[in-house]
Amino acid sequence: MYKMIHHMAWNNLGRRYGRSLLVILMIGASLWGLLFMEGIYDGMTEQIISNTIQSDSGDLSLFARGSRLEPSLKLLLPDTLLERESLHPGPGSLIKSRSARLSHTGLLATAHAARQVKIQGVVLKQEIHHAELSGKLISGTLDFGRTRTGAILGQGLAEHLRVTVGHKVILTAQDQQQNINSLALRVTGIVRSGNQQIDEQLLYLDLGHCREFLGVAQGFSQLSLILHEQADVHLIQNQLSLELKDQSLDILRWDQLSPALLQSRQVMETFNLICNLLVFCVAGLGVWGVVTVSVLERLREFGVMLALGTSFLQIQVQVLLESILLGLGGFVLGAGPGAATLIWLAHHGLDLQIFQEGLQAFGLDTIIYAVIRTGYFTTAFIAIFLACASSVILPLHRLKQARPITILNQP
Amino acid sequence: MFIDLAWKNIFHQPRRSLVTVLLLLTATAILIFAGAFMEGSHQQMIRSAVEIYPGYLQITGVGYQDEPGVDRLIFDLAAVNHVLEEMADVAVFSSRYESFVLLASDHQALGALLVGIEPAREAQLSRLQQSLIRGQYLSDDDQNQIYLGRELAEKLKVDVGSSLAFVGSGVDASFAADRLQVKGIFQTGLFGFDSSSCFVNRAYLEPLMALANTASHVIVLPRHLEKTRELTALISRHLPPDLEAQSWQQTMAGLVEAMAVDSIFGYLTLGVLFLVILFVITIYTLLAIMARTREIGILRAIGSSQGQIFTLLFLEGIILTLTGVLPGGLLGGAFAWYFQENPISMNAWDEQFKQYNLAVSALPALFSWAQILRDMVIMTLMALTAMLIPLFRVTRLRPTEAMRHV
Amino acid sequence: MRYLLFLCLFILFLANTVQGQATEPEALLRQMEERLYGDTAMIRLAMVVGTRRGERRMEMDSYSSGRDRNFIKITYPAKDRGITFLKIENGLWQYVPRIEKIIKIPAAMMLQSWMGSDFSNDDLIRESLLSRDYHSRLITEDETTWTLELTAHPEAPVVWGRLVLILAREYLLPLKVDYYDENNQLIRTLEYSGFSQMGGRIYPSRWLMTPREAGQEGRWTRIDVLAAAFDIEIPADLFSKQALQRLSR
Repeated sequence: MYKMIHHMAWNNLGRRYGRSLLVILMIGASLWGLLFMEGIYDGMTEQIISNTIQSDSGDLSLFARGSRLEPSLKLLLPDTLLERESLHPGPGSLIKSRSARLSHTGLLATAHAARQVKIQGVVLKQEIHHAELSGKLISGTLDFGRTRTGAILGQGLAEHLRVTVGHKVILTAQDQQQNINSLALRVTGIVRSGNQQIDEQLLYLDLGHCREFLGVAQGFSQLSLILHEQADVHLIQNQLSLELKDQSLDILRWDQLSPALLQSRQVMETFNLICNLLVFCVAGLGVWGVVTVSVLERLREFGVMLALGTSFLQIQVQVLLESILLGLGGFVLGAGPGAATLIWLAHHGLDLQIFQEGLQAFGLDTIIYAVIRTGYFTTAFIAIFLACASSVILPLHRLKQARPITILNQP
Repeated sequence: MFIDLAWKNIFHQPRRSLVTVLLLLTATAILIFAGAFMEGSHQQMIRSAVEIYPGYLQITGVGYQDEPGVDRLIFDLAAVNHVLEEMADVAVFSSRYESFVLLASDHQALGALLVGIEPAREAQLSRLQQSLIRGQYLSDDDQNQIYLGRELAEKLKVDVGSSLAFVGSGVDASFAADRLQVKGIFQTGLFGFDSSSCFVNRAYLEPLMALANTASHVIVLPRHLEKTRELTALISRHLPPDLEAQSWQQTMAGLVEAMAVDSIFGYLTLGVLFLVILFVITIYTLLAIMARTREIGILRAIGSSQGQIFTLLFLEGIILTLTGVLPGGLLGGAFAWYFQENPISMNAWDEQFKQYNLAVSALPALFSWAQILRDMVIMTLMALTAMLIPLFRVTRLRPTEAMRHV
Repeated sequence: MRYLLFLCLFILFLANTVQGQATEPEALLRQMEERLYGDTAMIRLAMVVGTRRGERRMEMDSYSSGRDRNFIKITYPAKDRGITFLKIENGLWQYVPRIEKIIKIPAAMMLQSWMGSDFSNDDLIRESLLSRDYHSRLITEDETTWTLELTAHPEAPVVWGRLVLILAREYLLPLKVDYYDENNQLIRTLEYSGFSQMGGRIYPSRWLMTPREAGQEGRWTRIDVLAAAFDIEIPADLFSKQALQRLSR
């Protein structure tokens, strides 16, 4: 029997295929637009967040207590901290990658210009994996050279100093004993983190070489951790705080280090939800109109069916099915191209070169990569389903009131 | 006759009419309000950024913006002042001398931007005085009194009444140094600015830095803000070749573009919503017309031409559209007006603003008749287009077929 | 200010004249510098800074011991009199009588914003030892001069790619030094003249530094050595922070 209902539903939709098509098109087009929007907006938000997480805060960062507010080469984390099991990355652990960095300010100079820089002494292999530098390299290589005297600069910095790969640059800084030291370095690579402000001050050095230069025997300023699942960050923070409470450390999450970022994400989530709601409410109106008309024009037909013994429930199911099939059709029509568009944008990105200055003011790069979340599709699916389902309520109510059997008797 | 028929038809299909009207009303109201809010909030953010310190119109030595230095100063301040005094469109102007100095307190020595200002005039041009949080703002008689940003004071660990010293160099490369007393502390909300800027009376700084008749900037407040570009061009014509005038659109191009990007994405979002709305209108128009296929067939059979049918249906469409768009326009305008007078508080998002170096606590909408009218026209045109598609389809029906339509 | 410290370098650099007439370039340089360590000097000089808008003159006394200790006191103009500088090891200190404060100048700060950010800091805090930091070779010679080309060692912390040094045979003192960056662009030139007897040795009394980059036309710095004494007894406590204030008067 349900097979028959199913059959009839399809028939009915096909009978007035023009308007069925229109409804499907409506749902499909708006879903496609919605997906595009969500993908790009989330892409922008996540780009800002991930730039900061990769090159700065990690999901979680450890600092020597107080060193974040007043950085100093005397406030460092000990190397022994790195041996702890709980801080090791790997498949068994919640930590995906980590990077120990020795940070300091200094001055980088050429014969033409000098610029203030943020020195980051790092273990390059770790930092490459952690900050995903391979994708950010724009010239040269990610290597400090055999003698470890190489330097990797941020793009903005290289441009200001007018240096390219192979050039010599001189780094000057005050070491731990307050003496001013200078060091000759060769530019081996130039990276573009996507965040202009970071790029204008970024200088990577080999950790060992950096320590020698700054007169530091051991230790580092920051241990940045990236987790497999960002949602685990609270858990790990608590675990580590307990385990390390006898050491004088600050353990801070990315959203504590940059509260604005978390706010951005939350705002986007709310915004996407509201958009879904609005769009599919309105779409629901469209479905409602069509269903109402299609129900009312078949009063006679339903009358016949009822007379033949079909229960009202079966009729309700049929109408519901019609509506849902429309929704499903729209979903497929929208989700297909929508997913394809998002996948393409996630790979190639949207090039917004013409808005370069404006985007940079927001801390964005000119190429925006879309994000794809199953949530987009499930939210949309649920919204469409609800819209279609609720759109049959009123028409069915009217149908009931219209007493199809009596209509049969009318000429 | 047509109008009577149109009205009758509208009332005979209450559902279609009501939905169409309400949708258009809502859509128009949303379009107008969203546009007003975006425009208003962007203007506010830009105005804040401009008015806090940079100013609407800047006169500097050519190339000073890119490469500041003692070579590119304004070396004949009196001449510039003279030019500006003669101009009716200039409301206020004032000079500044910016230089990097070492500021030393008992605890710390830091680099900072020291600016010699004309306190009374400066107060009319920027928000330095309004940003006072402790102590007092500078006056034209002050000597070695300094007015500094909150984060800078914190880093130096000083408060009102503390003493500081500065060491710098003058225009003639001589040493400039003196003891200072903190007279007041300000907070503009711009983190970068508050942590590196400090101000003294220009008259005091002049002998120390050999500033006679010299300045790094002259800031101008135009009498009519919307004519800033014209004023900039006018002033440029009267300046010597080694000086240039720039409007805020030029000095803050990045911010202006950022706001434009924000607008574009805002309208994109609205676009998706309106796409659905217009689809629904098309559907309802189609449904309504299909429901009257029979009637139309009869009309055709009794002699109405295709054109007349079309006109009738189109008239209905116009009536419905205007019934939705006009009240929608008024509603949207009312909201825009209300939120212009009562800006929306943005406290929940203040972290975001700090991050982007914007200092606003409340965002207003911008009420503009031109915008309202424009949006209503756009909405009307879009709605009519949405209605036209089914109209074209239906007027191609053949009368005999239509009459027998079930 | 930057010229002042640039000045320190050259005072130290030229604190000695080379007596020998060795012709190997490395030997020449080494001899020049052999005398730099352990030697002391007191020099009274005037520094004139020329810009497109005019000149400004300063006078100062400079005391040095070896290459890494230097004490300077400004004597003219009156506005700046009493300002003292101390350079020891790798730190730079300043005392300004008007504010009665001894200030340690942080490296990054001093070299960048306060001092202007478009000059190299090579001559300021960190001296280069020509014999250590450069590889030298003789390019050409004539009756009165040798011309040496000095190429910076890759690991030497100097911003110059190479220097071309013209040495006077008679005094074994430089006549002219051209500074080139890594792209072989001429950045500045230093010329010496006015060789005369001072403090028991032949010494150039006029040094002229001219930037050569585009956009720097009309700028120059000249140092006039007014008096000099070498290998004198300089008390060690002169090179201390206390001396900064004590000797300011």
